[in-house]
Amino acid sequence: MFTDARNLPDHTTLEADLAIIGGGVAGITLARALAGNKTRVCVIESGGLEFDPQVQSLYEGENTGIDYSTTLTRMRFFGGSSNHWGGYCRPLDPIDFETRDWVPFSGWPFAFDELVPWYQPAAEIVQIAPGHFDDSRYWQQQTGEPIPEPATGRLRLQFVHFSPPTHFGSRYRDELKAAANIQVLLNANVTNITAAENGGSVKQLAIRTLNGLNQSVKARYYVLATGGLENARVLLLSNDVVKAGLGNHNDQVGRYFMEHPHLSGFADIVAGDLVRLPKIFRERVTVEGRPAQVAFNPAQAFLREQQLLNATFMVGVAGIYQAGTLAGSGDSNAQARRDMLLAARRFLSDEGKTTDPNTLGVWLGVGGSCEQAPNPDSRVSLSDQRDALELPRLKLDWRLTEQDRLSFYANLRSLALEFGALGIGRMRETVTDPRDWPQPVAGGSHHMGTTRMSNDPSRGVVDRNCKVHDVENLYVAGSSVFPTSGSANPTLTLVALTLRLAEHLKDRFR
Amino acid sequence: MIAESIRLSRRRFLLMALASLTAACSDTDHSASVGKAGNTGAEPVWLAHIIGDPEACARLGRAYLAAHPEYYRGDTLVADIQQALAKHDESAVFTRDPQRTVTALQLLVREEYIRGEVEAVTGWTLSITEARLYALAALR
Repeated sequence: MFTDARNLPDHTTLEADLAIIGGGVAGITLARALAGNKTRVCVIESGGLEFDPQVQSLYEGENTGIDYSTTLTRMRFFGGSSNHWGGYCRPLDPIDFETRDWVPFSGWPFAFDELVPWYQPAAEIVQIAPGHFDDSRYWQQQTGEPIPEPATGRLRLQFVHFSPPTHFGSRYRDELKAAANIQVLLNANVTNITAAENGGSVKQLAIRTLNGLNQSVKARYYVLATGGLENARVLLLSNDVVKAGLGNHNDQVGRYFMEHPHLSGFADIVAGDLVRLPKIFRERVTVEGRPAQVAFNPAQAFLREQQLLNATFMVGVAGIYQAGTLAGSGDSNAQARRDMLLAARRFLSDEGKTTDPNTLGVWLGVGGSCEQAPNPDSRVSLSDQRDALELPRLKLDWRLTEQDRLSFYANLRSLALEFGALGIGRMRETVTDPRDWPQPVAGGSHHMGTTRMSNDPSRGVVDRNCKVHDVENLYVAGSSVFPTSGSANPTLTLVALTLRLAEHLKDRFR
Repeated sequence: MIAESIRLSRRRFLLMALASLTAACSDTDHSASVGKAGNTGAEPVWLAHIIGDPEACARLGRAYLAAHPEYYRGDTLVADIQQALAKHDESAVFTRDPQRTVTALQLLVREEYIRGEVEAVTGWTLSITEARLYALAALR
C-alpha cells in the first residue's frame, strides 16, 4: 500500500514492526526481502513517485572541502539514487575487507567470504548476470575472442557487469504495492529519530511534510536507509536526547566520508592493432543479453607488496587514426599520438602491419576510479543554514590525502606497463605536476563511510550487524556503513549487505 | 636464451658488439639498410627492421637524447642496446639474421615493460630499449 503523508490527518501515528527510513536502493531491497511475511513494514520516503524540485532542494548543502554537489549526486524520490544510476556492478575485492597496516582505519568486521552468499541474490535484484566477475576463460568462450592474461603481475582483469540500470522505484513499485504487510509512506520527511530517555533505544520517528503536517511512526525496529550523506545527517539531527546526535557518543557519525575519486583526461593510450585489443577491453560486450566490460584492477598481491590503495581503470576508443592522413594535424596531442603509433608499429602489430591496412591505430581514453583511505577529517556535519523544514542543512568537507594521490599514480603506471608488456599499446600521462591531482577531482556519486561499521564503538557507528552501537533497535543500511570503499561501484555491495541485514532482522522477528 | 650468468666486461662487450655489427653490415645491401648513425660510422642492419616511421621515431628519439646527451655518441647507444639484448638473448646480438635480432628486441621490449624498466619520453611510458632505438633513429 502506498500512502501520501500529505493526505493523512495531522498528528497521525502509524505503527509497524519495522520502520525503514528511505525508499531508495537499500530501503526497497530490505522491504522486498520482508514482503509477504507477518512483519508489518513501513517505508518512509521523503519524495513522491516522481522527481520534485522542491523535495530535491532538501538535499542542498554547504560545501567546505573539495567542490562537490550534494544535490546532483543523489535523488530524493521513490527509488532514490537508482533513478540516476549508471548501472556499474562489481563486488568489492577480498583485500578491501582486510585490515591493511598501510591503510589507516582499514578492516571490516568480517571477511569478503561473509558477503559472497549475498552477492548472487543481489545480482538478480540489479538484473545482472550472476558471477564471472574475474573469469577470463568464461568471457573468452562467450565472446570467441582471445583475452590476454596480464603479464606484469601488477594488474588483473575484472569484468564489470552493467545493470539496465535497475530503477528500483519503478521496477519494484508494484511488488511493494501488492505486499499486504508493507506500507510505503510518501512525501514524509523524518525530522527526528526520537530516542528513549537514556538514548539506548528509539521510541518513534517524527515526520513532517512540506505542506506543514506532523506525523509519527512507531515500530519495534528502525532501519535508517537514506543514503551515505543523509544517514549521517539524520543521526546528527536526532539530538534531542543525545546532544551530539544519536549513535554519536564517540564522535564517529559523519566522519570518514569517502568517495571514489573519478578521473579522466589524465592519460592517453594508443593501440596499434585492434586484433590485440579484444572488444571487451574497450567497450561493453553483450552476452546473453547482459553487457559487460573489462576493468583493469591492481592484483591484490601487488597492492600488498607496494602498499597501495585499490583502483579501477577502464578504457574506451576515443578516436581512430587512419593510415596515410594527417587527421588532427595542428593539434599537438593528436600529432603526439599519431607519432607514437607510427614509431611503435613494429611493437604493436604483427610484422608492423595492422589488420586493417587503412587504420594506423586507435586512441583510447582512460577513466580511473580509486579508493581513498578512510580519513576522519573528511566528514559530514551540520551547517548553520536551514532547509524548508527548518532543519540544519548538511555540511560536507570531502578531503583527500597524499596517500590517495600517490597510490593513484602508482596504479596508473601499472596500466602503462601492462599495455606495453602485452604489446597492445603505449600510454602517455598528461599529468604535469605529480604533486597535484591530474585535474579537479570528481566523485562518482558514491557516498560511503559516514556511519562506518566496526566492532569497536570508538571506531565506528554500527556493529557487524549494522546495528547502531548502544541503540538497541536502530540499524543502518547502505554504503554509509562501508569502513573502506575499495574501488568497485558500491551499489551491488550495498544490496548484498542489505540482504544480509534482512536475514538478521528476520531472526529478530522470529 | 637469457644469459644473465654471463659476465662480460663492458670493454670486451663493446668490441664484440661492434665486430658483429661490421660483420652484419658487410653481408647486407648497404644502399638499403646501412646509413650513418651519429658517429658510429654505420648503423646496425636490424635498425631499419625494428623502427616504424623514421620521422616519428626521430621526433621521440630527439626528446630522449635531450635527456641523455651521452647517447649522442651512437656507438655508445648501440652498445647499450646490444648489452641489454645480450642479457635477454645473447645469440641475437651476434646473429647475421636481422629478423632474428628484431624478434629478440621485440621480446626484450615487452620484458622491460614487465620489469618496469621504463622511462618517460614526452610523457609516453617507453621501455628503455625502445626509447634508445628511437634515439638511434634520430641519429641517422
